[in-house]
Amino acid sequence: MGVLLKAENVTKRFAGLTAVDSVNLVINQGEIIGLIGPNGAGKTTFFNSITGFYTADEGKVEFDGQDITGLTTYQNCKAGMARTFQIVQPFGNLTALENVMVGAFNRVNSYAEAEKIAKEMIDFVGMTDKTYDIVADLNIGDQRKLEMARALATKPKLLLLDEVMAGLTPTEIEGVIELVKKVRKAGTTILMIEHIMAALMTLSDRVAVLDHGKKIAEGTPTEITSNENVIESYLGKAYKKEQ
Amino acid sequence: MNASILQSLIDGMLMGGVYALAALGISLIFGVMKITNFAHGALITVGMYITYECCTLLGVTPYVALPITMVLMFLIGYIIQKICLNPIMGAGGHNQLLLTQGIAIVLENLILVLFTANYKSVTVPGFETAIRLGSITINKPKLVAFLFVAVISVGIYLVLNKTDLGKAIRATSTQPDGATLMGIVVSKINCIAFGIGVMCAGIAGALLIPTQNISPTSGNAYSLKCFVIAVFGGLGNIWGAVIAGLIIGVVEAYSALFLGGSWSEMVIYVIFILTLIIKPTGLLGKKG
Amino acid sequence: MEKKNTGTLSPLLKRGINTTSGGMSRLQIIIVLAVSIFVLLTPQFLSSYRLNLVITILTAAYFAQCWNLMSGFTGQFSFGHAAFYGVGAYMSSILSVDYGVNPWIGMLAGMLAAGIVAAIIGYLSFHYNLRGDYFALATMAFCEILRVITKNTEFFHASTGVTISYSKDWKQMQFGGKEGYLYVAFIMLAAITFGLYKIRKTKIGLYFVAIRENEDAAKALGINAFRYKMTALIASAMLTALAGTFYAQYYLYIDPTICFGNSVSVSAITPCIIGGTGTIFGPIIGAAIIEPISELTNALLSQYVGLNMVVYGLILVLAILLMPNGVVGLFHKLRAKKQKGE
Repeated sequence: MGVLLKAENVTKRFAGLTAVDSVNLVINQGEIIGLIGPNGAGKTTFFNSITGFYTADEGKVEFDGQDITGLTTYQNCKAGMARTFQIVQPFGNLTALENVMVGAFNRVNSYAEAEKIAKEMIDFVGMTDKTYDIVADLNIGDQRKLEMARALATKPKLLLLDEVMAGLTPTEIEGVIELVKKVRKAGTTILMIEHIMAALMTLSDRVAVLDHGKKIAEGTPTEITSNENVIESYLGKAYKKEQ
Repeated sequence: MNASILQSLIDGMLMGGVYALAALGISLIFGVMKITNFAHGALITVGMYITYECCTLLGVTPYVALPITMVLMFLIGYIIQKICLNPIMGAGGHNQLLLTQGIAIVLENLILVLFTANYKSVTVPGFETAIRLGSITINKPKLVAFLFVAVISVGIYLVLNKTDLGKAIRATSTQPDGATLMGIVVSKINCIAFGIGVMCAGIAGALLIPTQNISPTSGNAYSLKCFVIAVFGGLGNIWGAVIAGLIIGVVEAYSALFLGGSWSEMVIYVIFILTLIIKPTGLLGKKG
Repeated sequence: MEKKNTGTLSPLLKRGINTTSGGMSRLQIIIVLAVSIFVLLTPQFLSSYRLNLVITILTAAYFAQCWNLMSGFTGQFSFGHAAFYGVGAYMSSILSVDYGVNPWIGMLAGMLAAGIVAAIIGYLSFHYNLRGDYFALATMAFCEILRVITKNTEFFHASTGVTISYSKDWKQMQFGGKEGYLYVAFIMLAAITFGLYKIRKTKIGLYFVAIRENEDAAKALGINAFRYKMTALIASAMLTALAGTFYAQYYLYIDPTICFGNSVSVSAITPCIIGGTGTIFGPIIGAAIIEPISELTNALLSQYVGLNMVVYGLILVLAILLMPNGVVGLFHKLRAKKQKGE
C-alpha cells in the first residue's frame, strides 16, 4: 500500500487568522480517511489548500509521488484529485448528463466517449432515471450524488468529499454510505469531511481531527472516540448528539 | 508654470468635488443593491434639464431651484427602482446592468425629443466673472458647487449614520437577508437608496449647469468618469468616493495641463483599468 | 460567491441538451431552410432600400452572435464589444486608404489586430480574475481608450473619420449592388451560427457553458478556465472584427463614434437579450425583431429626433422585464405550459 498523498506542514492564513496551522497528513492508497472537527476548525480550508483553490502559505503537498505544491485546481484535477463542495456547485442549467460529462472530459476528448463515461457514472450513483433532468430542479440529495458522479467521472485517484451527507435524509445517508464503499472498492482513495459521526466512523480507516487549524489527533475510529482531547473539543457534544 | 500648477490643483479639486457627489450616488446604489447603474450619466443630464426648466420657468438661479431638483430626482429614482429594478432584483446575471443601460437610452433620447439637441445655458447674475487671487482665478460657480457638495455630502453622511433610515440602509447593504429578518422592508429601502443615489446625480447636474452649456448628451461625459471614481474609491464606500473624486479631479486637471485636454480622459481610463486589475475593491475597500 | 448567471440562460439550451444526440427537430430544420431560402431570394423582389434592411438584420445578427459566443455561452459579459468591431473597421480602412493594402488582406489584418487587443484585455482581466460587472466595466474602459486614441490621432484621421473610395470591385471587397453584400452577410451569419451549433456539442463548447454556469466547479473538474475564457474572447473578437470591416466596406465611411461608441457595444447585446442570450437562434430572432422596429420608428417618427431611440430603449427595458430569457425562452415556457395542460 503506497502513499498517495502526503501533506507536510500545510499552513494557510487569512488576515491574521491562521485557518490551517502546520497540518501533516499522510493518505495511503485505497484508504478512507475521515476529517472531523468543530465548525471553523479549518477542514474546508485544508481541502482548498491541498486541491489548489488556495495557495498554501507554507508547507508541501506530494501527490502520487509528485510535488504538487502551488499547482492550481485544474492541474490537481488532471493529476488525479477530484472534490465535491460543502455547498453544492452544480452547473444548474445543464442536465445531469452534461454535468457529469464536464467531468468526463478531464480524461477524454470525444463527445461520444464522454457521454458514455458520464452515463456509467450516473448509473453508478443510481440516478439513471434522472439523466436528462435539469440539475437546478433536482433535490439536494440528488445534487450531492450527482456532484460525486461528476467528480468520479474525472477518473480521480483521490476523491475529496466535503460533507456529502449534510442535509440528507437517513435513507439518503444510507445510500451515500453504500456509494462511498463502492467507490473505494473500485479502487479510489477517499478523504472525507463529515459531521455525521456514525457514518464517518463506519466508513473510515483512520480519522484526523482538526481544531483551531491544528491537527489534534489522528487514529482509528476507536482510538479517536476514546481520545480525551477530541471528546473535549468536539466529540463530547457532537458525538452525543449523534447517539 | 508654478501658477498654472496651483491653478490646476484648484480647478481639479473643485471639479473633483462635483464628480465625487455623482460618484457617491453610484457607490451608494452599488453598496445597497449591487447594481451597477449605467443610467447615472443620463440621470445627471435629467438633473440638468429639470434645473434648467425650473430656472427658466421661475426665473431663479440653479441654487434656488436645487430643492425642487432634489425632490424630483429622488422621486424619479424611487420610481425607477420600484417599477423597473425591484421586479428583477433576484434575477442575477447582468440583466440589472442592462436594464439601467436601457433606461439610460430612454432618458437621454427623451430629453432629445423634448428639448432638441440645441445647447442651453443658464447664467447666474454676478457669476460670469471669476474671483482673482493674484495670478490665480477661481471660477465662482465651481466654488459654490464645491461648497454645496461639501454640505450635501455631510448631510448624506448624517442621514446614513445617525438616523434609523440610515441604519436600515446600511443593514440592507451588508446583510439583505438579515435586514429582512429584522423587519426591514428591503424593497422599500432599495427604492429609497436608489432615490438618494439618483438625487446625487441630479444635484451634480444642477451644480454643473452654471459651468457649461447643456445638451442631451452632457451627462455622458461624466458617466464613465463616475464609475472610475466609484471603483477607485471602492464600490459601496461613500467616503472612498469622495476622496477618489477629489483625486481624479486633480489627476484630470494635471493630465489636461501636461498632456492636453483630449488625452486626459485616457489617463483616467488607464487608472481605472489599473484599479480594476490591481485592487478592484478600491482605495478604501477591503482587501480583495 | 459570485452572482449566479441563471437569469441569462434560455431554456432552449436545456432542451438542446435533452436531445443531445438528436440535434434539431425536423420542424426546426425546415424553418431554418425556409427562412434561409427566403432571405437569399429577397434581392429578386425587394427594392434596394428594403434590401438594406435585410442586410442590416443579417449584420446585426452576426455581430450579436459574436457577442453571444463569449458572453452568452462562456458567460464573460462584455460591455465593450465595439472595441473589436472598431479595430476591424479601422485596420482594413486605414490600410487600404492610406497604404493601398487590399481590403481582403486588411480584413485579415483587422482580425489579427482584434485578436491581439482581445488577448491583452483578456490577459489583464482574467489573470487578475475580474468577474461580473467589474469585467463589463473593464471592457467598456478599454473600448473608450481606443475611441480616445482614434479621435486624437492623425494616423487614424482623428475625428474626421475615414472615407473609403467606391470601386464596385469584389477584389476591393465591394460587391456592387446590395445583393452582393446581402449574400456575403448571409454567409457570415450562417457560418457563425452553424459553428455555434456544432461547437455546443463538443468538449470546448461544453467547457464554455460550464465556465458560465459555475467557474469554481469547472476548475475543480480539470478545466483551465483562463485558457478557455481567452479562447472564447479572442475568437469572438476576431469574428467581430470581420463585422467591422464589412461595415466599413458597405457604408464606405467610419469615424470614432460609429466604431467605438457605446451604442455599438449595446447593439451587439440587444438582439441577444430580445431573442435569448446563450441560445443558438436567439440573436437572429432578436435582430429580426429589433432592426425592423428601429427602421420603422426611424422612418415614421423622423420629425421627432430621438423618439426612435426612446422606443429602442423601451424595447430593451421591456424585454428584460417581461421575458428575461428572450423570445426563445418565452416560446419554450409557453410550450412547457401547453405540454403540462395536456
